[in-house]
Amino acid sequence: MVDDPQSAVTDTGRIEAETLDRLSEARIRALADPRARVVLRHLSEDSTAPLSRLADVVAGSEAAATGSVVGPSERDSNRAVLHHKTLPLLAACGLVDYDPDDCTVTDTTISPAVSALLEQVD
Amino acid sequence: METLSDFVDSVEARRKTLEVHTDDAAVATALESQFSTRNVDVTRRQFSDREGDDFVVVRDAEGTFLGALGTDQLEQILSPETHPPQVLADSEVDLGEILDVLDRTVFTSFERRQLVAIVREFEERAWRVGTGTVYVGFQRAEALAAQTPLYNRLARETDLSITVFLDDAADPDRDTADLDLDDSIGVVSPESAEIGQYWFFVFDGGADGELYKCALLAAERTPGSYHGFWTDGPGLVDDLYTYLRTRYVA
Repeated sequence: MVDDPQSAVTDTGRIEAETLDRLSEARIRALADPRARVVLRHLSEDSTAPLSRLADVVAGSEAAATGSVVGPSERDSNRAVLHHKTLPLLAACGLVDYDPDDCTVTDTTISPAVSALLEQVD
Repeated sequence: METLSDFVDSVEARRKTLEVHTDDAAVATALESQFSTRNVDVTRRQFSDREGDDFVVVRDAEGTFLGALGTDQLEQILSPETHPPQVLADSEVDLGEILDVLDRTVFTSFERRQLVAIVREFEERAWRVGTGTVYVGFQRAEALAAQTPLYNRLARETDLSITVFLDDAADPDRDTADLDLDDSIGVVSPESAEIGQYWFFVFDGGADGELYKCALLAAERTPGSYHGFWTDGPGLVDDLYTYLRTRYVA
């Protein structure tokens, strides 16, 4: 399914139901995970990244959002979730190319509708 | 620690990296400036998540992840009023490791004039406190001779206990009486190569303790150019003081 690049969000910033309708169910499910959104926001700046960096970014983003300090074990458990669940899901719906052997995202494709959703959802 | 060079190595090994993830260059620049006198490298990575969600990743000298926190939280920790229990109380993070970033140890290369300026500051600090112990090591007898009037005044006009360290090998026939030092100043002149290799100053803080502890340890790499550290960190000052006392004084 191709995302509709037009009218992804209203001027009040709410996601239009139609936009969600035009995102595939797989993408909506993948993007429901806050870790996935942090990862994609990072990959929108730089389309390739090693898993370790993405785990750092998720840890930092969580720390900033919750006002806490995220330590190595929490960061490592995030890394495991990214590797086994989040990145395979994003890869399955065509948003990233993930090489699980090298633990590296080798490419990222973010459509305007996905991009708009990332901008509007925390 | 078994040698003075172990202290230099351990401080160097404790150097941290603060990786600032932000799309606002000013945030990184401010942190760079804030940490410029600490044992920390500050780097910036472009990151645009939600507004106000800038964060830092703290890494050890090998690049291993030690912890991540929002720049807002870092500011809170840096603020002496809130530092640090509220922010870190519930964290599984190794508090010591993170706070290492905040300690006031500077590891660097010095020009001679910079080293002199730091030692002058430390000498003045000891003078103001007026009690406690000062260990000062000179690489050469001429360097001590230049400072003898100052240390004699320190010894006579304060209650400081001063011990001077001088490399014995530099002048094996020297009589300590030739040094013109006040009688109350102890002289340690061991047959130990390391004493001649380092310029150091250690003040244990005296009666006011923690607030005034300070130490400097530097080796001359090339003429006039030194490598080492200075610190206000009480733990490191105590370690250096204890090392010198047990090895050479006690």
